[in-house]
Amino acid sequence: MKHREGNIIEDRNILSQLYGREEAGLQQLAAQYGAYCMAIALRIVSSREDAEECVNDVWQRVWEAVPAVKPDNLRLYLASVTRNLAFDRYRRQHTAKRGSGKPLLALEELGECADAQALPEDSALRKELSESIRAFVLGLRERDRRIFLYRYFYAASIREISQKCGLSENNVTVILNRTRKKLKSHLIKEGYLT
Amino acid sequence: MNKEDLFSAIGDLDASLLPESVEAHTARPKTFHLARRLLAAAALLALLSFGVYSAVTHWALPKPETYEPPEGGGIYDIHTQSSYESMPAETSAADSGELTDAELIQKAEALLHTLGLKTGDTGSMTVTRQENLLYGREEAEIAYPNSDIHTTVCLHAKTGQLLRLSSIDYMGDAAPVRDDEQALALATSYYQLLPVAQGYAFTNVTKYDDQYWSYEFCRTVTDGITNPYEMVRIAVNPVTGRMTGCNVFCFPLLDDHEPQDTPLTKEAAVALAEAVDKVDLEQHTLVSAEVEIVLPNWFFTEYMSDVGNARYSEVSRYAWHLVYENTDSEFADIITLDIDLYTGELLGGEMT
Repeated sequence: MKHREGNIIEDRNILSQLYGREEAGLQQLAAQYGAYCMAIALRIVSSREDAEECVNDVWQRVWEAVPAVKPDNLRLYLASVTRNLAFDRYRRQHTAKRGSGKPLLALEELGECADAQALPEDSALRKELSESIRAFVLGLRERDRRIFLYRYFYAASIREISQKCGLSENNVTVILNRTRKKLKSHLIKEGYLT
Repeated sequence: MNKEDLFSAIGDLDASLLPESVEAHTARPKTFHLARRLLAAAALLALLSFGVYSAVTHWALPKPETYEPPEGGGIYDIHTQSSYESMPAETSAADSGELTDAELIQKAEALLHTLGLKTGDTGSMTVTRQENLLYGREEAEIAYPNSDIHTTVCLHAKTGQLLRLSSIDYMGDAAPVRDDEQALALATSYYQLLPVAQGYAFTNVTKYDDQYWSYEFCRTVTDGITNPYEMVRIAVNPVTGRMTGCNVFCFPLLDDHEPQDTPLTKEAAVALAEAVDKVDLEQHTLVSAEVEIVLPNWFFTEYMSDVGNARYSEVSRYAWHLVYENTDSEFADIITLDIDLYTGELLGGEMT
């Protein structure tokens, strides 16, 4: 594994090529981060084929976004784009074929903090909800925040999180349970739930 | 605000808040097959060519389309949602001919009790009545939203027939299973406890990860042929030794041909498919043709221009399942057509 400092320099090279609309930057991006984005997508979509298509969408999205978007941390920016494109794909498939494939367990768990009624698309409420979630996450203690984001941002399994954080699987489960309860209280207080 | 809204909102968090990601090693791709590697290289090359073209002509790539659910919230039309803090006394049905909320909850709880699954200790529950637009049936979903264990049971609102069940509990107290044989025995034992058609044969298992193994049991129609639309799917968690979900599919095979009817040959089925004027197969090659049991959806004849209102049949049929692929396309471009084995009717299919 490369040293993080080396990665930062490589990221700068990639970004400067992308800012200059050099296709080589895209090629380097795929070589450097292909497996990483693939791993994130695979946690959310069911098949390798879907994950591959999702990662191709990521390169397209990045190519469109720069130079208007200038990521401070390319790796985390890619994580965010990949995760959201993978979830779009997951929703599309599960709406079309309810009951087939593997359910996204992290999503199912969030059902405890939600009701059945979807917010209107493109509504101000969605933006406000994002802000509210940001405030909630910022209010969590460091360890709980990491675990919450591993689970509900990256959709990592309980086992992966326990290995990453050096905690037992039971411990991770309990922390997530407590955090979900806090989230639910937060959402009730903010008026999103009754 | 539903769970998808919440998951999306978490995805909107700015990158500065994220931890340095979970390492990729657990899901790092295995060595690609040569063909896949070549396909990926071709896709990348095509993408780069687009880039060059874009730079020369100042033409921007089209924006990727973000998913937006169709009007009305997808495949469900939700009628009512009722919450209860404890088991309700007799309630009236939402619509004539449907079971009451109290009856539905009693059925759900009896089922969970039989299966040894928990609902948590808060006692509160919701009953959502909805129409499943894909199958044109009224459903009732009984959920226990305040529980640490997220449990939902979906029943047919009129007959009370189990349609699906989900019970996610990482703290299960049953014994973990140690091998494939034990896991299959566990799934089979849950199948036998369910109030569904019995005697189905185990046909397949999909191990999505170390905590989600999905077993399929299908009706054997005749020697060696099972109907995937008369199926009970049981998902078990080998770590907790418990069932985490099930789906029940009940679309009986309608095999109404007369003894003197002769099945279509493959060539006749292909000729019929290629004569359908709404389907352009000029760029496509036939890659497989098998006799299968299919669930008609009349995609090409009824819903091709109105996909949002697509419906499935209530019965399955024998058909030639033809798969056509445009192998020159850098993206998946597959058309499937189902031709009734005896009548030659175009029963439906898909475009990917």
